Amino acid sequence: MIKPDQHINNILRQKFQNFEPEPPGHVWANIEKTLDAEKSFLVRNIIYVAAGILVIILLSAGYFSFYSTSNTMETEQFYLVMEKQNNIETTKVVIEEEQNDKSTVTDIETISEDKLLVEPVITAENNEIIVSETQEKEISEGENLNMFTLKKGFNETAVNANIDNMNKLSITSIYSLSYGQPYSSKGDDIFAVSKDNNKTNSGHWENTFFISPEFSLTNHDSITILNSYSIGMEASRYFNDNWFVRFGINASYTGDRGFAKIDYISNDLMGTYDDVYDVSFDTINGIITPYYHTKSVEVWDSIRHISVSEVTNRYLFAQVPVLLGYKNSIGQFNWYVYSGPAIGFQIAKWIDEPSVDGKEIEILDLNNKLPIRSTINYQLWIGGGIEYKLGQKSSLVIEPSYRYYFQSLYSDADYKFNTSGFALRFGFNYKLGH
Amino acid sequence: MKIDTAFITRLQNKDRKAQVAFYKFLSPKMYGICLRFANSRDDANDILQEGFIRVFQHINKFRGEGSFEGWVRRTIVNTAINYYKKEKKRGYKVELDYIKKKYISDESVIEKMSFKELIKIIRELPTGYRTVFNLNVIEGYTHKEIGAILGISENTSKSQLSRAKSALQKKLHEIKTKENID
Repeated sequence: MIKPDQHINNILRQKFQNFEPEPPGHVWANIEKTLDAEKSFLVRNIIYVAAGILVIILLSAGYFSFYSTSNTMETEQFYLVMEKQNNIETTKVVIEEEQNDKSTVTDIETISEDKLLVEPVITAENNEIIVSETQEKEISEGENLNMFTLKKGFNETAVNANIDNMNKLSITSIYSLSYGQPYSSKGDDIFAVSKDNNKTNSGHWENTFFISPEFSLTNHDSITILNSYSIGMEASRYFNDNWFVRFGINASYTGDRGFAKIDYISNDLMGTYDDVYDVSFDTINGIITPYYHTKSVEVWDSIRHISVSEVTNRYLFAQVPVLLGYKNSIGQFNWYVYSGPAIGFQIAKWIDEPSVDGKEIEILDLNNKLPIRSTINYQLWIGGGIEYKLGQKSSLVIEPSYRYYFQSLYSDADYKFNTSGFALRFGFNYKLGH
Repeated sequence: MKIDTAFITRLQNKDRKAQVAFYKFLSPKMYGICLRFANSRDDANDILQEGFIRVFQHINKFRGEGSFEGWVRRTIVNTAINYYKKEKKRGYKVELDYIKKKYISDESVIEKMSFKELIKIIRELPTGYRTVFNLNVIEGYTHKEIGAILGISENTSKSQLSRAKSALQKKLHEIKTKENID
């Protein structure tokens, strides 16, 4: 037998099984709107897409710049002057760096006619020429031993050379390609060879440590955006003496202040009165006098209140900027400007709980008017800076910058407004490498 | 309309025509659920809208286990529950006393009632009672399952249902008395 309870349940369930009312048309319209908005995400976020592409380009440029400097050598020209003295061939090597007109002339070795193969080692750093050892080597025509082609005057002649490592060029032999014979100098012949040099260009790395307050430039009726305080490290990669790309990470502690409306009932003391719990009579001088024995009674009542409580939400964000900049030097100072996108990731949040003083309180409604920040925000940084050089490698930095937040800081649909801020950054800059 | 694997694939590919057809097919049934769970018609509209958006957004999570309509139904029910969870956080308190009252009513009254009337009396229940009532009586969830969904104990769920039924019985009795007078 079915219990009455179960029976009613079944009736209700069956009745509602056929309950299929038509929803209002605007519901689908809203759904479609949301789906369309998702579809056109790329279109709506074109600025972020562009910023992302810019980041990729800058990072790629930095990457290739780094590797091209490290692994690819510059070509410079060197001049070799060869002299012949008393049937003994002396090889005098003059290295002239065309870039700075400095030259070094060194007698590297005196060698006999029947021992023409020399192996001077040229260190590129200081242009010193060192003869490491002389060795004979049979060279057949067409043999390619990391050949350096002579550029001037001696097209038929080649210098075979090996690059021992990044810093050394060793000339293993000098000989004539035309005859397969060792080359005999014809006096003050000057010819050029191409030489791979490891001398780096002006690209280098700099690291800067920053601390910074950021002041909000946005006013809102119900939210006070508090100042942010940041600490971070950013690395700059210089492509040459002027242009650089900078990226890094900053921890930014920030917050908002606002209000919450609290609707609550508290048990309040309304007052006291004297309650007569006994009356006695006495006769004084023949007059009957009543004595009222009283006790104080407190009157409490449940009172509904609406109060406004100040609340402060705090956040910790990691800000990752990727900036393109230009730097120049004036005496003891450097100045620079930069711009680029930055992304802020929320790492932690501390959300204030509205509170009301008092013990016996029942909260009926809590309307926290302070919205919560989104977990991610997108910014544009535009700024400049002045460096005071402390030495060849270090400098002090002061850097004012403007920051524009593309999207609202808040996820709440009622608080969709863009914000901006002014940051004053103080830093210590250190140049890496030579 | 047949909801087969091919159709689900079209939905997963965000085919708009398929989405429209799917909405037209299932929205009346799901709207009925929303109306039962909601405090008001406006809330029901919001829940339906939010629920279908969730269905379309998370359709790739449907693994093909069980009925697709059942999965959609659960999504809508969860949306309705979450819709009122905020309210619960704001001080909705559950009393743990268990009132044992017989849930006896004249079923003929229920059978005679229109959906509108039934929805009206269900809607008049406090949110907590209504949610448990809907989940248990109409959707067929056990008290254990309801406890897990709502984050309450099994006994609390039973207590809520008992109170819901008492309140409903009172309403039904009033209607019956009125009918007799008429």
